Amino acid sequence: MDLTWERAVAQKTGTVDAVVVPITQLKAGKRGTVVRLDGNSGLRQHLLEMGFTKGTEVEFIRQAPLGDPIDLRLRGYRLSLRRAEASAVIVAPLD
Amino acid sequence: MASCCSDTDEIQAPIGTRRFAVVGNPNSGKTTLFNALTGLKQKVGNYPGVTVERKEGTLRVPSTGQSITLVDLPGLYSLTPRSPDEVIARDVLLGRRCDEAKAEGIINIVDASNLERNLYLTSQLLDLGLPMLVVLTMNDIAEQGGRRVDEAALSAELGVAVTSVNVRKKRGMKELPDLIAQLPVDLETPRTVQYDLPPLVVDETAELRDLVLQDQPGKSPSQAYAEAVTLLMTDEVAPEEARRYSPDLLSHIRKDKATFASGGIDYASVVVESRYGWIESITGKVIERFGPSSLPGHKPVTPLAERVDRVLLHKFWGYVIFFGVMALIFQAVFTWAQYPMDKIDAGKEWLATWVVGHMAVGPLRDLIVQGVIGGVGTTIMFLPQILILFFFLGLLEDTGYLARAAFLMDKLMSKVGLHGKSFIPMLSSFACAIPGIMATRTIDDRKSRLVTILVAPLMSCSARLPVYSLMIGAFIPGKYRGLTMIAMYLLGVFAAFGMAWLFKKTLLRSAPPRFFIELPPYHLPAARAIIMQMLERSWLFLRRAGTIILMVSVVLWWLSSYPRHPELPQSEQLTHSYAGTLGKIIEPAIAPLGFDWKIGVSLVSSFVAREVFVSSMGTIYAVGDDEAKLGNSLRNDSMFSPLLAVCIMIYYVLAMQCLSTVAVVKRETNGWKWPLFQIAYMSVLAWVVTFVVWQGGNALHLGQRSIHAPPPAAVTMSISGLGAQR
Repeated sequence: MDLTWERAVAQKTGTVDAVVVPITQLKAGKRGTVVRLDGNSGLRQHLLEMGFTKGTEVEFIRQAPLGDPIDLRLRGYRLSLRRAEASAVIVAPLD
Repeated sequence: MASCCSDTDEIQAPIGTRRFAVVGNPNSGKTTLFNALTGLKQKVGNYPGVTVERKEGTLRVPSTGQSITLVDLPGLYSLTPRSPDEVIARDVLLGRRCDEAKAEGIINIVDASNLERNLYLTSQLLDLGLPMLVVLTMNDIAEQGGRRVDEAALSAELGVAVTSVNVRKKRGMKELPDLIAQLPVDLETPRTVQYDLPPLVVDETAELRDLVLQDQPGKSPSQAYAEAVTLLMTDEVAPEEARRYSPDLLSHIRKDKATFASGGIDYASVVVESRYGWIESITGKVIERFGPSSLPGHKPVTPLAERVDRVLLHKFWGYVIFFGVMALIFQAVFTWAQYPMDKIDAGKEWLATWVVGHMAVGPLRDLIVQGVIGGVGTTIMFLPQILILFFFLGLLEDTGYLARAAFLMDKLMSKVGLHGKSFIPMLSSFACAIPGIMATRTIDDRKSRLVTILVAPLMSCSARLPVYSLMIGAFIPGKYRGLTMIAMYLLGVFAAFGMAWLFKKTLLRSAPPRFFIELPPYHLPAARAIIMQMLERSWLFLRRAGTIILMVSVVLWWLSSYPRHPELPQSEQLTHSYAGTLGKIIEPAIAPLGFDWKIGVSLVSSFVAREVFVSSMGTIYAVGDDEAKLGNSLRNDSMFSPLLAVCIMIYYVLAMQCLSTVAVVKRETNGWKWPLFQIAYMSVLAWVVTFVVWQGGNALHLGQRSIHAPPPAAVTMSISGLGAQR
């Protein structure tokens, strides 16, 4: 998905906040702010307590060499999650 | 009513000794600090019924001479438990455990370089209303990033004392005991942190707090509030938890949840967000920025750890370094341990000779020399390997590399349903399954840990090596020897992964374990903490496993020495002993594998340790310790063939024959169920695979041999054929 293009469209149409993606779809080195959490309530609560609250800035640092898990930074610390779980974190891309 | 213990069985702390719980996030430097405070005055054990380590130590306050008991709770991120460790920590803090005297106060270790997330737990601990001291660690790492935490400001915000320490540089350590001693006995006024919460949430939580108080009168209002929050956060109160509460209380919780749902309130989100909101307002006030990063418009520097990780987690170099590190550990455990192991062996021989020289001939001398020194000595020989492995594990964990190793290996391990953290225990088991199984304690997910324990003994440990060398040396032609050896190791690896996959699919089926692993900043290891942990584990091994091993060694000695036949030569003694009889009794069961009673006797005696196979065969063939002679004798025995040698090796790869391992599995799983299951499944696996190879080999006429020219092609065929059978 070409995020920049979608963002441009969204900006023109005044629906900036409408573009949200699972954090797993960000490119390495890109950031996003948490919009909501999907997944079952156990997972949501776990993610919340680790700091993925609404509005939190999260950076996708890299994926593991074999593609999974991924390495994230939020609230000044680094957490690695499997893609299956990380995809519950829905973000609005920042840059 | 539903309080956990009656007044009589509650453990009371000795009068006059104060008790504090040491609580903090994983990677906050909690254990390092605990070790520095209590030194060697520690008691390590398990909480009954679970495999969670319980650590308690004594702190002596130098200025007053007073003693304070510190309880080191497992590292946790929140009071909402997700692993057995966290359940214990929460239960101790909420005063729910009968076997643990209540803590009077909390020493909360907070990582200054990771303040926001660490304060989340702090916010929950504050709710408990206990006297509390916040100890900031990792200040040096925070300062490298251009941030400094203002202790006084943080103390004012939290309403509790705050201090900073650096254990490695011994900074702040002199004052710490006094600060702990000065914690008040009771809070004069309960603390109330004002979170920004919707009125409905505030009201319902307060209402539930009052109900909890009615239900369980012993609790303080603050503890009841904390418990009410936990209850409302949890989706479904687990059945074993529900027993604590009255039906009224439980139905009230369900009603509350329905109210929240209809009001569109996600209780967990609202509560967690309000806490993080409170934390953000605090960190804004207490973190001072300095250096270039404080200048406006400055682009933050990439932290050192991330620059290092560009190499250590690199697609190519990451694995090169990873396997290099693993090879180093493997090498160390295998070869560096050899020297002390030889020394222990020599010491054992010396001791045996000394006893022989100083004691009258008789059964007691035989018991001490062959039973006690022989059996226990063989097990103590593994001690150097255990020490070295735990030294490296401690080093990897303390520097922060262990988390990276799990990150690199997780994908591979997840293919068989395991966790990245299972890799190191499996690798360690190549040296010896005992330290490998003990290393599974780093795995939080119970089922993943259990599967790892169940399959770890399939990895070929160093005690199998003498069996492989004897068989390969006697029956496999020169150029196929290396290949055969590798095939045996690979067979173990494939069996371990195959069985892990099978267990995860069937018996221990569970959702894939959540992989929430923090990648902490790298830091220099604290040598003292690593060495203490290494000694602690080794002592546990010696003490717990040692007692069972002593008992078993004596029993096996007795089986192989009695009944006495003084008229028979030494070499016949074993044949006519109970063990020999046992070998003949099991002969029908092992005959389909091509094994006769002589091998049967050696299989039985292998339960002390697998390498005993060699000395046992030596005794039966009356050649003593001389391995070359034994090889010749076996070659001259018309029953033996390369196919049989391969079958014996396959049996040794797959069978559970090590009672020391059984003892450790029993200890780590807290019962006999899993070790017995493990013996059963491994025996069946070993029997079936060996049976198929032996019968298949014979059907293909691979069992026939000419004494002087064993058919090399046939042997490799039967080895490569193994792949197809799995």
